[in-house]
Amino acid sequence: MKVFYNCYGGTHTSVAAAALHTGRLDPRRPPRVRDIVGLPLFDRVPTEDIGLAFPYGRGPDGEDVFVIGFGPGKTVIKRAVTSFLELKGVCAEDYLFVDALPRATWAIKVGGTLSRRLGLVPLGRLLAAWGVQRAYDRLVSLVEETRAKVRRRRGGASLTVPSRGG
Amino acid sequence: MLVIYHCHGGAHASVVCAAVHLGLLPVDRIPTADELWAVRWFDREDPADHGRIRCMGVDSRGRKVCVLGRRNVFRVLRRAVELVAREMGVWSPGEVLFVDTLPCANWYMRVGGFLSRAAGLRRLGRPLLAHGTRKAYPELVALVRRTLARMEGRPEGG
Repeated sequence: MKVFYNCYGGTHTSVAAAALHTGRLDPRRPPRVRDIVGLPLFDRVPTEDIGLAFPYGRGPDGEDVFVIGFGPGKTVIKRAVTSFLELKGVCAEDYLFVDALPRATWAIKVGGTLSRRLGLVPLGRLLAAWGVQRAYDRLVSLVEETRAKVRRRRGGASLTVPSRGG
Repeated sequence: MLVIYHCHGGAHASVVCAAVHLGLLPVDRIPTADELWAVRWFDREDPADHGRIRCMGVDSRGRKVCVLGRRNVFRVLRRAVELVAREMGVWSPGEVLFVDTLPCANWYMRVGGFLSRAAGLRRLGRPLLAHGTRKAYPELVALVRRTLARMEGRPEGG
């Protein structure tokens, strides 16, 4: 089973969600800005690499986690990807796309734009990381929902809130 | 093997190319407007469905012929499809061919397509579309010929 967290650039919101999912961030307490900045791929994917899927490790149930940026055409692109997989006979239960963008705050969006598009890296990176901190609860709940879905698909036992930090 | 003809909306240029490829439209003459309207999916794609890769049929060599409306995000879309398919273990290089049909579309087709699909003004859009498609038809057929030649490893235009 593979989980793809997608957002606009695939380097801020989706990276934070994937880090939570794979246990690099602790869902019980908000990370420091420097922990967020130090995450692999955080604010590191250049704009011209939008559309590339990067592996981000493994989740607690053995699922592979990826981050991907869909840019401005996310619905069209997601549909193209899923219909292609369908044509290739891939079972829809074997992958999951999770849109992390609705959980982004203005600070992540503005910070991301400053850093990635305008090249103001130090300022933009800090602002985006601060934004992740502010959006932390929303990201934690997104990841918990996702993990619950993964567990359900695996035919796992519990449908209740998954144990944290696992 | 998968051939994916794509254009902005996946309803006109790409559908005509796929139909020519599948032998549903003639290659030696320009089809009548009625023949065009008889093609399944010609001017049928709903903008809310953009992005879906639809298989129109299988050609004589067993290749799946598909159409795709990719709006203006082809570069990222193409990459995302390849990368995700690779991760899912279903991508083999050279097995999928994306063919951009938009350069063949003229302004009659673009304006007509917009009026018919996006604005919902079929009565106004459809005559323009039929005219434009018939005008662009030789180019569309040439593109399909080049595509077939490319797949069979023959020199272009062969």
